[in-house]
Parts: sequence; C-alpha cells; structure tokens
Amino acid sequence: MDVKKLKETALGGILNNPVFVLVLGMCPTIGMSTSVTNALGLGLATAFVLIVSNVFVSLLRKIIPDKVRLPSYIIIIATFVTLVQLFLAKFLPALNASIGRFIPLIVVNCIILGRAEAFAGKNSVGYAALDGVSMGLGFTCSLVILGGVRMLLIAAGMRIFETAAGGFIVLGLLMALFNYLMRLYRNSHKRKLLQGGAAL
Amino acid sequence: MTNTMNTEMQPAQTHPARKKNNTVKNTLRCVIVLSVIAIVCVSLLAVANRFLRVEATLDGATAALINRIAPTGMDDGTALSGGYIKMVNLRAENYAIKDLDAYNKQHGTANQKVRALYTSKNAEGKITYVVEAEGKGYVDAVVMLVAYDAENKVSGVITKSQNESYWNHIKNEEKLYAAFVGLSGRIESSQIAASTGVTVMGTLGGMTSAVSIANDFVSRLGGDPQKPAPLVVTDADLVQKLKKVSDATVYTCYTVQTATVDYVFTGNNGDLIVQSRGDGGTYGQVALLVRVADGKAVKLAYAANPSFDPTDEHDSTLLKNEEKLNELFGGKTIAEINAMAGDSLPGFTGVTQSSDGLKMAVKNALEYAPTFDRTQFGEVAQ
Repeated sequence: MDVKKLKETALGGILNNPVFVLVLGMCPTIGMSTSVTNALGLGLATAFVLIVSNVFVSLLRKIIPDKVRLPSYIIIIATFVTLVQLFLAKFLPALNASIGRFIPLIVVNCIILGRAEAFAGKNSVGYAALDGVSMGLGFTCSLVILGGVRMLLIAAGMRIFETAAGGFIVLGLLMALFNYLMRLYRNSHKRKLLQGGAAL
Repeated sequence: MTNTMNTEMQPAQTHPARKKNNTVKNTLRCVIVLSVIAIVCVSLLAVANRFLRVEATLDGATAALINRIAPTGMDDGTALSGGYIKMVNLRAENYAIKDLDAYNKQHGTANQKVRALYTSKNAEGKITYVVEAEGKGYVDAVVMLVAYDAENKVSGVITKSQNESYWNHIKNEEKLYAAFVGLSGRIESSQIAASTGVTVMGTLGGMTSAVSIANDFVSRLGGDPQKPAPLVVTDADLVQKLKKVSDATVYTCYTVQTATVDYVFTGNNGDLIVQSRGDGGTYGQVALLVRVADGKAVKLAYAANPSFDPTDEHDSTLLKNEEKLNELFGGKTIAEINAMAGDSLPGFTGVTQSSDGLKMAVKNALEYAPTFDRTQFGEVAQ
C-alpha cells in the first residue's frame, strides 16, 4: 500500500477542499448555507452520493469505454441522487421540504463529476471510496462553517447575509482565511523539511 | 525509392474493412455498456420506488393546512387529536370510488393524480371534504389541498408541498388561492394567470392540474359525501315528540333519507330512535318514531308529519292512538311483527292498508337500526 498516496487521498478534503480551494459546487453552497441544518443535510446527501458513485465508477472503470464515460457517470450519479431523494421524502420529510429542490442538482454538482473523472475513474475502489469520504466530509464541513457564520451574521441583524450576495461575501472571506491558514501550514511544513535537511 | 517507401508503409496502414469492423465493434460496445448500466440503474430505482414510496399521511402540518382552508373552529392540535380532521379510508366507507390507485390509473396521468381524501368537521357538525392532489409543475410535483362546498365547488386551496425554482415569483399566494374559489371542473392555467397576473406558467400548470383532478375526483366520489352533518335537535315540537319515546334530554339528528328511513336520532343517554316510513296504500305514507334496542321496537310515536288522511275515521282510530300503537308493536321483534295478521291488526277492522303501512314502518326501523353507523356522517367512532 502506498502510504503517501493514502495520506494525500485522506487529506484531499482539506488540502484540495472542494469549496474553499477547488471552488466547485457553488450553487448549492450559496443556496443552502443560510442555516447549519440545511447545510449539514445537503452536505451529507452530497457526501453519500460522492462516496457511492466514486465506488461504482472505480469498479466499472475498466468496463466503461472512454467515449461514453461521461454519460455513464451521469447515469450512475443520477441513480444515487434519486435514491437519496426518495429516502429523504420517505424518512425525513421536513428536511426534504427544506433542501429538496437542491437534491436533484447534486447530479450536476461539479465535485461529484469532477472526482469521478479525475480520481475514481483512474484509481482502485479503496482509494476511490477514501477520496469520496474525504471530499464529502470536506464539502460538508465547508457548508456547515459557511452556514454557521451566515446564521450568526443574520442573527446579529445583518439581513444581507440571507441573500446570495451576502453568501458570496462570506464565502470570499472564508476562502481567503482558509487559504491563508493553508499557506501558513505549508510554509511551516517546508521550513521543517529544510531544517531537517540542514541538520543532516 | 518511392516504391520502396510505399512497400514499407503498407503494413502500418489499417485495412479499411478492419477499421470499419473496429468502429462497429467499439460503437456496439459503447451501446451495450450504456444500455446495461441504464437497465441496472432503472431496475434499482424501480425497486427503491416500490419500497420508498411516500404514502399520504395525515400529519400535524397537513392538519394545520386543512384547518386553514376548511376551518374546524379550534386549534390545529385539537382538530387533529380530537378527530375533527381525519383521513378518509375509501375502502371502508360508502363512496363510489373505493380505490385511489384504480381511480388514478383510469382518470389520472403520470403528472396528475389524487393522493388522499380528508374531512374537516367544525363545531356545528358541518363536514368539508378536502382532496390532496398533485400536478407536475416546472420542476417537480406541486401538491395541493383543495376544500369543497356542498355543491362540489372549490371553497379553499393551499399548497402542501412544492420544489419549484421560481416559487418566489408568486408575489401574492393568497390572491392566487382565492382565484380558485368557486370553480369546478377542469381549470386552465391561463384562466388563473389572467385573473392573478402570475407568470410562472409551469408552476401554475402544476397547480391547475392538481386542482382539476381534485375537482374530477370529487365529482365522481358519489356515495354518501353529501349527507348533511348531524345536528342537535332544537325544534321544540320535535323534541316533544322524541320525548314520547325516549328519556334523553338532548337529541342529535342524522339525515339518512333512504327509501324507507328519513332520520335517525340519538339521545344523550344512548337511545337510538329511527324515523321510518311505511306505505299505507291509498292513504299515503305513514311515518313513525321507533326507539330500537336489542332488535326490538321499545317505544313508538307518530312522527312529525304523518301523511295519512286525518279525516278517515278508521285511520284516525288507529293513527291517533299512540297508546294502542305501543300496545301493538312495543317490545316486538321483526319476526313477531311478521307473524301478526297480514290484512289487519288485532282489534281493528277496515284499516288493512294502514295496518300494513304501520307494520312496514316498524319493520323498516328495526331493519335499519343495526346498520346505522354514525362515522358515516363524519363522526369519530367512540
């Protein structure tokens, strides 16, 4: 087992965070981050679809001809999205009423198709599943953080943050903060490596 | 040189026939793989749809919406827990439509169907029917609740659920709902758009489809839905007559209107009184109040408007003597009444037709009493 690849895949959700780094899936990110509950619901639904579709895309990667890989991925993703919607409608009707209109949009969420194309279609099932978990949780956490900040601002009386414009402002600020922190982390990591090299 | 090059290049070129073969093979492979994936996915969804199918249920949120368009006069919680708002089990009740699935198969479409029927009863006992129906909107199904008046015209409309992208383009929902009131039959979205100015036609189409099929459903429902709700008897004359057969202090009247029974009265002490009719031949119909218990006519009285000829001496003898009436029929079962003389009643002569009418009225009351079910009148089973 390639430990380096495993580590990179597991940390993909942070290092290549779909929202703050890759800037994917903006429509549901802005639309459903007005409350933590909605953000968590949509994040988990997306994570589930991401994990399962990654697994199936990886399993079928040697069977699906290159020319029809995108339609095949879309069919697989759409199937699991529909399953999620049926499940929500049956068992969580209140959540479905709240986020239901964004569930079908998961099919065309760039994160899912992007990971299927860039990762799951080229790697084994284990790595694909791990990538799904990592990216899914990364997306969910980003949505929850964004939802939490917006909720606090809305509760403080700043109604502009209920709107898409307010959502983009918060997203931009959080993105800047996240990337600043990531740069600090990378720099300290580099410094450690250099210090280690000098010691040698 | 050129010839040598040509000779050397030959093996590198793919033979046109083989190239064509490969193209066909690859295309066929693509088609087969895509088809297999599609078939597996569709099968999976079909199975999931069967097990995850959402059945309409009467939850608190639905009851609250019904209470808005068909007010019970009490708060939402009491209306639901007290059984004032309830879901109708079509199979168990006397409606022309017994099976919603069969109805939807015959009259609905993939984009338009009825999901449930509810009743809402107010404090005066007035029952309003509310149909839950869905129509395909711009994005997905728009589920509507539609209330009806006694003439099967829409008396209230509200949206139960929708996933429309442009729902917020409807600026005044109340005005939109009001545009449906008083309508019946098929409703076109352009009709509503013209009166409300709503421009989201896909969404409006879903709403009008839902209300249209609800209208159709109600018009075909038939059976007992038009039975008036039970009422407390306040007419002093009628109360006086009822007191002749029962010791109750308050009576509730259920309008039955079958061929042989007009009304059923229940007393607050549990008494059951049937107002039944019998054919008195040329003297018309006789109407009696019969208190029934344990399959026996316990006590009898003449009903409010007996139509026997009051000038007829023979009839008057019998029909104005309630004591004699109780003496003849009191405590008797159907079998015992059948055993009585066919052409007349003991002690009376020349009143054959009247006698038959009386016997028939008592028998009708005894036959109907065991079948009386107050839940058919919108009351909650005790």
